[in-house]
Amino acid sequence: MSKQLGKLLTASAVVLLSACAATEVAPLDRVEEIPKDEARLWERSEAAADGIKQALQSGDNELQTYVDGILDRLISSGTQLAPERYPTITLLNSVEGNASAMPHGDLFISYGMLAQLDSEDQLAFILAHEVTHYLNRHSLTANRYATNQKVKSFLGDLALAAIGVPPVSGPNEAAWQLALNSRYSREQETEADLQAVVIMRYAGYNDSEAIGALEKLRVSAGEVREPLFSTHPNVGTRITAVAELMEVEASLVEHSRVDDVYINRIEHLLMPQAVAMINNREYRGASTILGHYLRRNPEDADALFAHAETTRLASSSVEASTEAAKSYQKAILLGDAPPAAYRELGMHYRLVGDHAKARTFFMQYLEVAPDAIDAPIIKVYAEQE
Amino acid sequence: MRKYTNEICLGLLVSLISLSSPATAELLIPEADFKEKVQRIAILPSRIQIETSDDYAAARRIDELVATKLEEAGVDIIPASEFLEVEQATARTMGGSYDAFTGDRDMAKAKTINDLAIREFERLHEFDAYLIASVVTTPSSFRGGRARWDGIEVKTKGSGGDLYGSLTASSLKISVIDKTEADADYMVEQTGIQLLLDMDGGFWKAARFVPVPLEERLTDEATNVRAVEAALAPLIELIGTPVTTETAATGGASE
Repeated sequence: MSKQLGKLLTASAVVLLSACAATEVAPLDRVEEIPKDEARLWERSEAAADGIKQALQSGDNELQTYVDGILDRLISSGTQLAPERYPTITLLNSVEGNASAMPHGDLFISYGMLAQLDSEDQLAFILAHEVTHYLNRHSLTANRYATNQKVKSFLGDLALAAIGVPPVSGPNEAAWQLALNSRYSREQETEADLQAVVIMRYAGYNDSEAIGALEKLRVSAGEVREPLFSTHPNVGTRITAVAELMEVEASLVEHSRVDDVYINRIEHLLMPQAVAMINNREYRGASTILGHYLRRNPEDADALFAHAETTRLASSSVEASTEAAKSYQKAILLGDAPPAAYRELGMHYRLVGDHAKARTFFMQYLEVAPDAIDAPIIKVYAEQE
Repeated sequence: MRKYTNEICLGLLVSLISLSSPATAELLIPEADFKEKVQRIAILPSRIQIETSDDYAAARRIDELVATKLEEAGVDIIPASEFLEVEQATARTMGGSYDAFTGDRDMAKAKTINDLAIREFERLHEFDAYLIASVVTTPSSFRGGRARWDGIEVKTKGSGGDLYGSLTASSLKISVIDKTEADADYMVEQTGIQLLLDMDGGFWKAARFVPVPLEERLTDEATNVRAVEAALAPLIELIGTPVTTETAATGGASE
């Protein structure tokens, strides 16, 4: 009986394993015919992409043309793709700092992402990273891998069942599958980073800005750890991998050079994106964007005030308060600062124990905003100082 | 029979692993960094995100249990009562956060009071991290008269017959966050407390869902103590000071 069961299991395993699709696939620029499972994947992703475009596509034609040009330069210089398979890029009116690639070659990048970058070189890296996902058919590989895992899991369950062990199920199964898939996906992310560096080099971009772009991601993610169940590896790990490819020490690479031509292109996005990010409590990202805006508009009191607020809200340390105070002060000197700038200077001097200055600014706040919601408590603070 | 012993043991082991619902605990920074960064913890007032008959009393009880447990374990804390004092003083000066005419809560004013209270509290106290205890709703997995979630398993009123699925439950979530950096979490731990929706019947009478009465939520001392102890265990393991026999003896004598 047990021999027959063994044979049956072996036969089932052979049949099912032979049904497993290959997860190593050639890049798209070396493939003539698209296999059926990939064609089905493309069909589904086209429908999803249409939905995204309908909901979020920006109407900024000038900026769209600019980004199209960068993508075209990357593809034509760094890949062998046939023109009919060139990916397209769509700008999304979204504050989330995000870029993505659909399996069939629709790429997306958000205003939030564009606004946080320092230069065209950094944008080129982000686009080249997404191009690599498309070019190396990562979605197909991930899709096949997931399907194969299901088959193998089924075979594993059969084998366990044969000795009376129930299959792993419920939350543990979900966690296990996620762990398997995440590890796989992290490899793809690293591959996309490394190939993006090569593509941007071929297209004549400064590859040290790959590290600059990844640093931007680190700031916006605010991450401190290597997540166990995450599709993207820790940004620090990605930076190290890119630096190794470039045969340099990551900490020694000069990057994040702000490109005024690029900032000029995206200047109109900056203030709305910064305000949206402040409302989303993404203070570090907002601070970066306001920094870009202030390069071109150093005497904009509202931007100075907003910059001070992001600095203060991102960290309640004395150092951050001191840094913010400089911008509040400058905004006040420009003569057009919101009343809260006076209150915040008062709060700063109260924090550092400069009672006279604290009282002066609190009194000025009460003078310019006597009916403010917090006027009663600021009055008490002023009296205490 | 003996030849099946190993298989049976393995089967039982895998069953236990696959059926148990582990508590959700996560240390979000390296252990050494945590120990270095977190020396003194300020406890913020507990947040009760489920319906109870007296949210305020329930929150204060959780505050007390958390403070007592951490103090017993030798963790340096500032109890939630200290923050409440600052917050209440701020609210009094601001004339409260409720509209005198409509009785509605003025959310802008409430936010201002909270923001100012936090800033004043940080100005007055030296500490490294906040601890926030929240009672949250969460789904439990129900089958065969038992519900499981966030590391605990409880018996339901009735077996539910053939029914299985999910019952709403409550958990205690403990978050340890950086004092200065916005949204920098250090640790999150979640442990089941009690069901909010029970299952009755299933054998002699028809199965039905029964909401746990508001007066029975967070009012059982033993249940609350167990949840607080379980939720704080990873934190205490990291930074608690083990009580030596001598200390324990001295402590016992002084009582």
